[in-house]
Amino acid sequence: MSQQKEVRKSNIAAATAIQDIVRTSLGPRGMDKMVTSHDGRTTITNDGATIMKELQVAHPAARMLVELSQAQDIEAGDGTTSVVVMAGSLLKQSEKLIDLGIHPSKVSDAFQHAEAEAQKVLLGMSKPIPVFSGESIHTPVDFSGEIVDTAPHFELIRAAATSLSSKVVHPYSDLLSRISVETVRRCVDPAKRDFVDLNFIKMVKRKGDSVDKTEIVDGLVLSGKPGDECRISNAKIGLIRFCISPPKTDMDSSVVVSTAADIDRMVREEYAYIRKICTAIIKAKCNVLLIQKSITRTAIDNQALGFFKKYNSKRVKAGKPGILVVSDIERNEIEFISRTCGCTPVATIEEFTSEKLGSADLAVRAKSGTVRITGCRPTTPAFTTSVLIRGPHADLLDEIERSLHDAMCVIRCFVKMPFMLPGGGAAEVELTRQLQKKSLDMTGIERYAMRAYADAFEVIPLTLAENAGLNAMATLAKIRSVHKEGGNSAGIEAKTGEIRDMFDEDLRVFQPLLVTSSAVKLATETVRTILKISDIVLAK
Amino acid sequence: MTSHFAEQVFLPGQRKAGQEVRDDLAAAASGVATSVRSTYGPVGCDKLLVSVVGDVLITNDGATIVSHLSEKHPAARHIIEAAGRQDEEVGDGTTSVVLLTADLLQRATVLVSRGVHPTVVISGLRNASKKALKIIKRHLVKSVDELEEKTLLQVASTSMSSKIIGSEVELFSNIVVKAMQSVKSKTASGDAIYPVKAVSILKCPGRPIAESELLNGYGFPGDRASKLMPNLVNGAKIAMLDFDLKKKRLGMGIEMKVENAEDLEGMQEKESEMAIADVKLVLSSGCNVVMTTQGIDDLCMQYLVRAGVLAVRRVPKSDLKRIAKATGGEVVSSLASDIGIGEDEVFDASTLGESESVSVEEIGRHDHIVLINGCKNTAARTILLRGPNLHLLDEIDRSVHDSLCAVSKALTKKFVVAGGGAVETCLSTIISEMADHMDSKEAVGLRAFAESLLSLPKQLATNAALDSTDLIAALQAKHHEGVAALCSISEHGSPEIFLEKESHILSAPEEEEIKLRKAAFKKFKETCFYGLNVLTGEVRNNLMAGVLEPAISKAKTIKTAIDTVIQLLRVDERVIIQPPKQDPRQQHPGGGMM
Repeated sequence: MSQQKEVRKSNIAAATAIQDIVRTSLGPRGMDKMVTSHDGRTTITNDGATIMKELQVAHPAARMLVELSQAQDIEAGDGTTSVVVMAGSLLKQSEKLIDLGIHPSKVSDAFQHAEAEAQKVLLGMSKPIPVFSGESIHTPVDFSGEIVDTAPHFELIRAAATSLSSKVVHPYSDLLSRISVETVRRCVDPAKRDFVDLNFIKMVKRKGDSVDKTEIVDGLVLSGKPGDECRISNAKIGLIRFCISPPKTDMDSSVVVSTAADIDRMVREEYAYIRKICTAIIKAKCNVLLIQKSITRTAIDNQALGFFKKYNSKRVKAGKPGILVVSDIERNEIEFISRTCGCTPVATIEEFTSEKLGSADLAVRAKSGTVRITGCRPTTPAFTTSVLIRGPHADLLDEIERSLHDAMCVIRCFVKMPFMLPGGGAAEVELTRQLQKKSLDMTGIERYAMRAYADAFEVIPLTLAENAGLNAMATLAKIRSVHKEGGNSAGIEAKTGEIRDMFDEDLRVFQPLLVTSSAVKLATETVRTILKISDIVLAK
Repeated sequence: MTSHFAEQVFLPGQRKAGQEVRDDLAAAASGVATSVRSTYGPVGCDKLLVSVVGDVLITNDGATIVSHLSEKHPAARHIIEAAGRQDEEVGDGTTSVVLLTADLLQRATVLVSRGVHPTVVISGLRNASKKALKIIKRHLVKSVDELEEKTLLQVASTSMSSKIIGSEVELFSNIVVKAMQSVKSKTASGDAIYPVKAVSILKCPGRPIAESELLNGYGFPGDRASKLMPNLVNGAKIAMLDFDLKKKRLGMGIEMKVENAEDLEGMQEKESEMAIADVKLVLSSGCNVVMTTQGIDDLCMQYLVRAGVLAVRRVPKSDLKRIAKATGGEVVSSLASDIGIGEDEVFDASTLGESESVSVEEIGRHDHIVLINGCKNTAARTILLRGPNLHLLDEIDRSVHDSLCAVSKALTKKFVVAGGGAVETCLSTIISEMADHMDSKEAVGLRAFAESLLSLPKQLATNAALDSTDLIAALQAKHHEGVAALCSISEHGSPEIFLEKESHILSAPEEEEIKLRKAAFKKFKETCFYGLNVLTGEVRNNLMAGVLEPAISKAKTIKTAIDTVIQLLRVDERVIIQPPKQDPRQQHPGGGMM
């Protein structure tokens, strides 16, 4: 065998080996992988992107598939397993074509053409979905009870629920799906509808209580240190990026003390310095103080805390609220906070004036340290939301956060491209069928390539059926026959194993067009790149 | 072909898939179970744990044993973590979680090896656990209010029965219940809570276990800072400080340069002066007890001694906070003045806590405790444990803590269930009946769950050196009477009737029918609390016999076990990546393969 052929075969084999590993985790009934990394850490997951990242693949062609799933993660945030499975299947098909004697670059070109056709088919098959039209940002939402057809954004909630159905947290999908839709809705700026930044959704995890106590907080949630309960209405929020502690000298210089009077002076100076800052903060009428974390210094020292504590107990005795201090605000939270509360981060005490403060209706600190600032009144609409995640243990909290993020990505896809496709492998079966039909009108190599390209997508329904514990070939044949008779949204209902119309009123399993279309596009591009590699040269 | 290439895809590593990995996980799980199996139940044995450095620990507490295992296998670690969570959330039922998880996983793995797809088993298990929780909630619980203090004593003694203090069960259950009842407090929203932390447990080696007692007031191990201080202060006014009473030291990065002797003397003088000023300031508030989380040096000490103050240093901050709460005082973190008032430092007398007395008592030959009695705000209790040695005291501490948790849960959640395998056997009988009536594949999951539940009473019997087969059969027969009676009145004999509410079961259109239903329900209620009496090897009504556990502990056990099993059952492949031995770029990816 020639060198070129050998390299190509090896590339394809490596890439399909990767596909073999992730394919059992596809779909709502997918299995998990337990990956023990070389430092002994064990991860159990069925998220395609995470599995691939943990695997530490070395082969360059296999690495391309790992990057492919990451690209899909960035683009759509979902379908990270599907995209790898698709790419693997496309590679297997192209191997057959190459074995027939067709030149790889011909195959590659034909695939490019086929991909364009596939996009047309997908768009033609999709249905529009209503996305956040009409109502105002602050419509209250009911999170209790069953999800009914008439609920606002019913379609979107179902889509989020589909995304959550394969996760560990799916018993809570009723609540979590509503939360993910609502949070994304609050982040959509009507002026810039196609732009959704998930960074504007802040998820705070607090251990304790059960998962169904997870909630959206209209405003800001911070996880502070446990302390006394505190409630401040009409909050004036100050956000400072300096420390309230005695200043430190630089590394190389030092303060020299030579007389008793100096000590006295120094102690008094320090005292006065802290006192000055505290007084300025109180004078600016700030009653909620947020302090950025500092690595080199204590964000707020005991003396300053003492000042505020005294101030508080005096205020409380007079029947007035005191000041609420939250330290250890992470640097990356600053933007979110200033946006949400409308406060300007302040770097020196001299600049700390009342105009820099944000305002909100209420700031509450619970005993556990959870601080909620609600009813914020920023000068420009913030389009931010906070979610307070509750759960009995840290692992579950992390899992909820990941699952919510995935569900939000699905909703974001709909905001970007408001069309939906039937889930459960229906879209892929239909894609195969229509492309096969198209291939009949073609001639030459293109005909073979189109046919092979079309066949590749059947891997999705096949794998779904396999993972659901069904007879894969029989199930696929059944779906095909239903599609032939015009039921082009028929797919596998993984829970029962039945073939059903995915758009059915009581089922509604669908996915964003963006996920599938980007998966098809990215998979095809990657496959074309791999096909075009004729040699691997090791560089120093 | 692919498997051959797969080896080339990774860094050198190991892959296990399918049945191989499942068997591996199940084996690891039963390994953990084996280590706690024999401790389960009132006649369980103890374990002697020896750590790497030779520390010895004797315990019967599942959570403690499991948390000390150095098992590396991820499946084992998962179970250990699950047990840890159970301990954290409920404080009881950790051994049950481990046993149930291992047994369920074993059964599920066998099912999968026979060709049942794991997803089918998973949904069966999930379905079964949902049903089980519903049945517990609807039919197997007893409200605590109905039975009052006697019930609480029984809950406490059931939790203790398996532990070393089993011999002094009456004494300790009284102590535990009294302690818990007296620390009742209300949350902001008005719910009554019974914080376990409000009861302080002190250990004192020497004297027999039976001399353990419940002390009034809050106690913590500690002593006077100086022997010259009084050991009893009546009408105590307590200053609680979170700072040093020591000579002032300058911070890092500050250098002292002294040119002549006078300056040096002056500076030392100044340092002392500042400390003395602080002490005087504190004393000026009129306090007669000083407690600090930090130290007190000799210089400051003499001022305190002269003032006749009882001072305690190095008090743990958590203790001090609790004392502040109980005595209505505040922990003062600095002497800074109010904003807007003068520049000088102040110590506000309103931060002092008040109590009837503070005393220092000798509890061992060298050990002392500080006891704060008659606190102004809330009651606090201290359990003083006595015993021959520290190992034993530690074990008593753990048992008492478990028991406190159980009573606290029973008080807050207000529901208890019958112990001694009653709940497990009843659920097992009902759920296996449900599996018989089910026409989908999921039935295998339900049956596995039903059989696994029986592993708990079986273990109870085995540990008690009884004939478990015989005994469990008798227990099952008893439960079957009631279950069959209730099934017979439902449509097609369907056991789904157990998921209904009592009022629904007892309602029917006809008078005659209602009578029938009432009789059947009564029959069920008569049998459903039957469990084992492991001491005599008999089957009896454990609700009547007073073998009680908090309902939340049973429910959580099932939930935690099912969650863990499902998580492990979903794994179909295990990849272990070994550290790279050489630069990965050096390996020729395609070379020499063809």
